[in-house]
Amino acid sequence: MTAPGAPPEEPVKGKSLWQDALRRLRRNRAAVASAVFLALLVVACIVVPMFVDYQFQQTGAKFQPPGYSERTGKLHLFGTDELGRDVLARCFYGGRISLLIGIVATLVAIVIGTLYGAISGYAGRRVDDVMMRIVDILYGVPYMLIVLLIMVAIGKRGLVPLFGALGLFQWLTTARIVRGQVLTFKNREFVQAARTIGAPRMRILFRHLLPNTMGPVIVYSTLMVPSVILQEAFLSYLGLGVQQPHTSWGLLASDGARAINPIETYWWILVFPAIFLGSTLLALNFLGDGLRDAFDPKGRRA
Amino acid sequence: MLRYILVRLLWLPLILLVILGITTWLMRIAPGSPFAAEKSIDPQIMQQIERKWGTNKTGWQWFGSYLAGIARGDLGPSFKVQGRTVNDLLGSALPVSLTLGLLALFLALLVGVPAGFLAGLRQNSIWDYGSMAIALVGISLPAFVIGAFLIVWLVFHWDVLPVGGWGTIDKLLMPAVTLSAPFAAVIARLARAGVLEVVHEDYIRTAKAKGLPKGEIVLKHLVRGAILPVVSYLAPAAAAILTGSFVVEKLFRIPGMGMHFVNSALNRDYSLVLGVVIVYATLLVLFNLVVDVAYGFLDPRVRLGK
Repeated sequence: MTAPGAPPEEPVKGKSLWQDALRRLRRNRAAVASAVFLALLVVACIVVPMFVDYQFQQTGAKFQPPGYSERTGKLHLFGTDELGRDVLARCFYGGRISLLIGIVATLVAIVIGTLYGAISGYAGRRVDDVMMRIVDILYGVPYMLIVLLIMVAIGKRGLVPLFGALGLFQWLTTARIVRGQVLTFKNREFVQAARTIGAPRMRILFRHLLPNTMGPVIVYSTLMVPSVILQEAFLSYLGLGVQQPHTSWGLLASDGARAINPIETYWWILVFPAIFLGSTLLALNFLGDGLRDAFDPKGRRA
Repeated sequence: MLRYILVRLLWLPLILLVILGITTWLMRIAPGSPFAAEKSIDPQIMQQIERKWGTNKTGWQWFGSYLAGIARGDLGPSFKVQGRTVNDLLGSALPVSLTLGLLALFLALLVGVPAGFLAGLRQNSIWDYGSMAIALVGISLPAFVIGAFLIVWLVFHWDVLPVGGWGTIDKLLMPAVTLSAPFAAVIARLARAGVLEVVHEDYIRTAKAKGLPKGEIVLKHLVRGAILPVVSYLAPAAAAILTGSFVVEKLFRIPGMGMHFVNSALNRDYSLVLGVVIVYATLLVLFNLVVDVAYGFLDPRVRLGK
């Protein structure tokens, strides 16, 4: 934010805007609680799998209910699944993968969308027309169909293709947001000033325009993470998401959903992953809402 | 207006072409073949099969002859479902998915719009917090988890509804509710935001200043402006409901488009995959158009076509 070539007003004004937003965010109790919860969860997902007695793949007695298992003589707080694997260990391990997918796919989408939208908005005229028509066409594509087909086409090749496929269509809205922001800022005085003193175009774009677009992008990406995690759950339920031996909350919950039957309820293999998944998405949504209110000046009246 | 609609309709073939191209390419690079079997097949017979289905042609040739078929309204025979054409299969599956999807969309509006309006009009009340908390839960759980809980309670514990299948109204109820839940939640949030946006507009203040009764202000002035975010969400919602029904159809064993799509993609049933993609893309483009036109009617500030 403190660009050496920028006029002195710009960094000061930008800083106060961010501080203002942060101050408003801190007053939002739900958002703060969500942020704390998410931070603890991330730490727990990294740390807990290192310390639990069970490996997430280690098998044992099947469908043991939560608690002390007489059959194995071990404590399974969340019970065991259809292969006798400890559900607690799998929930924390699955959390690593789910969070990783949410964050990486969102980052992919943000980088592509920001660059695309910034170039389109800054170039203007014909370039802008063509680039935005392409976005319009891609908006018309039933994209989950394509993502599904991509997952079929690339087959079982680990996590990296999954990040790419999920991020592939997410950048469209980011591109529109960034383009809109660039259009509103590109004729403002601080940009004209930079242009007058001979700053190269790339420098104006990256140093002066992009930092000003980041507020709405941060808000949108906070809300994108939960939707990507949900989409991974959707793919996992259809058998096209994370593949064994890896697991994710989506895959764990869909294993739980598949295991329901009229004779015996193994509720713990559905309920615990669902609690992890649901509370994480809830917290991300709360945080995203809080960020949006904090960055949106209209929110001040509420 | 007419010109605008015509131009938008002219985009349809282009969009279809792009999507079909991508789909064909993806199916071609996918490992495995539609004719892979447990037993090894005699190479001569394999050649015969490939000639019959045209898979021995290059991608471009195949794509060309497929497009020629579409022009005649013929989506070709299914690769895997013996003796059925794609037209035939989709003809029986499309009404199922459309019924389910439209019912879910209707339910989502029926629940979401009043809940959102109530929350917005009584901002910071117990109604506001209550409905928004439920809405957040709705968008934070995947459909199959909500559906699985419904099955456990309504079918296994209380035994009030059948578990799945298709054909009667009671079988339709649970899948439609499951499918609509996340959309009802998003619609409620959008309607609330719409109300809060409009409440502070000048024209509402004018209406109040004229001394209009509160009910009339809400019905005549507020609803029209506040519903706009919901209307513009309808197009992406329709798209998401179409694909969302994949999971619901699988969970409740409903013989709809989603089941065909997932199975055909996994079985490399090229023609069936392409058929579903064409139908979905066409539906989406048409629905987008309807929504945009409706938006123009609702918001006098929007002028369609320059």
